Amino acid sequence: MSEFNQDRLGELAIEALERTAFVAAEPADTEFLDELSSCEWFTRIRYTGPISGWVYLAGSRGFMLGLASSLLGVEVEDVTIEKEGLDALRELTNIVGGSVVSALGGDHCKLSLGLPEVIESGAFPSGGAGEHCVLDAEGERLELFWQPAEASDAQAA
Amino acid sequence: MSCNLLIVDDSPILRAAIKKVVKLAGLEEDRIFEAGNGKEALELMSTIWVDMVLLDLNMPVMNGEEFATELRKQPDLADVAVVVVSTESNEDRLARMRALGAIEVLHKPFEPEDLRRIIVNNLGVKL
Repeated sequence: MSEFNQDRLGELAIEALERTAFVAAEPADTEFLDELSSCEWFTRIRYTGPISGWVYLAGSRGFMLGLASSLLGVEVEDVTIEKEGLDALRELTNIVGGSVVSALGGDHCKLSLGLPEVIESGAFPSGGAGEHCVLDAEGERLELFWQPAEASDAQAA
Repeated sequence: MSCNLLIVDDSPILRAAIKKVVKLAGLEEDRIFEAGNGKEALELMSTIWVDMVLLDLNMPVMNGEEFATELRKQPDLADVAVVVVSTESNEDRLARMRALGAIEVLHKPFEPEDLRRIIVNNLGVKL
């Protein structure tokens, strides 16, 4: 598990975006983070088994609209945040969560994935144990946080 | 070739994305059906014949494993081709799906070409 770091977390999300929606992304340049729009929508998914934890995602408005339009093959003007945008972020959370579980569980994975859920901004981890990365997805912000259970339990306490 | 295909996934946007790929594989739009969970899928399959099911596993109401179990109990539906399209990595669960007759497992995120190949190989639709 020690091999699972923020670079790997970012790679899994980049792969999910490229394969599923043909959206290009790369780790954001830390010197220019302020130039990316803030995240407005937040999701998470839980995994359980021999180890457990959470994978959190957060996207800017533009990211979600772009992701939804790419998935559907329609113009950005034809999708809404509340419907297609949130559905797209939930599905991306499901896919990235599945990739994280596969990476953590290895070839004989015994981990099980839950269902993605939309959360309030305050529930997105602001720090602590886990891995955090920010991606620049065609000029829009996508943030990810992987939080192992002991860290999430401590935060809840 | 006339084949009916059913996409079972709780995400409407992913169903739409999969539907795009299925159409590229050669299926006509009016032969592609959708359901948001296993229960909806079984209800739909009681009214129309389906040749292949593209099945997500993690869904509310009735998940993919429960759906496949029910499907195999019905003699007239027991031979319907089931392809798992899911984020699932749990080897025990995937083994149970294969025991229930799943012919392929396609992990999300997948390349559209991978899905198209599975459809073409198993349904024989034209490229």
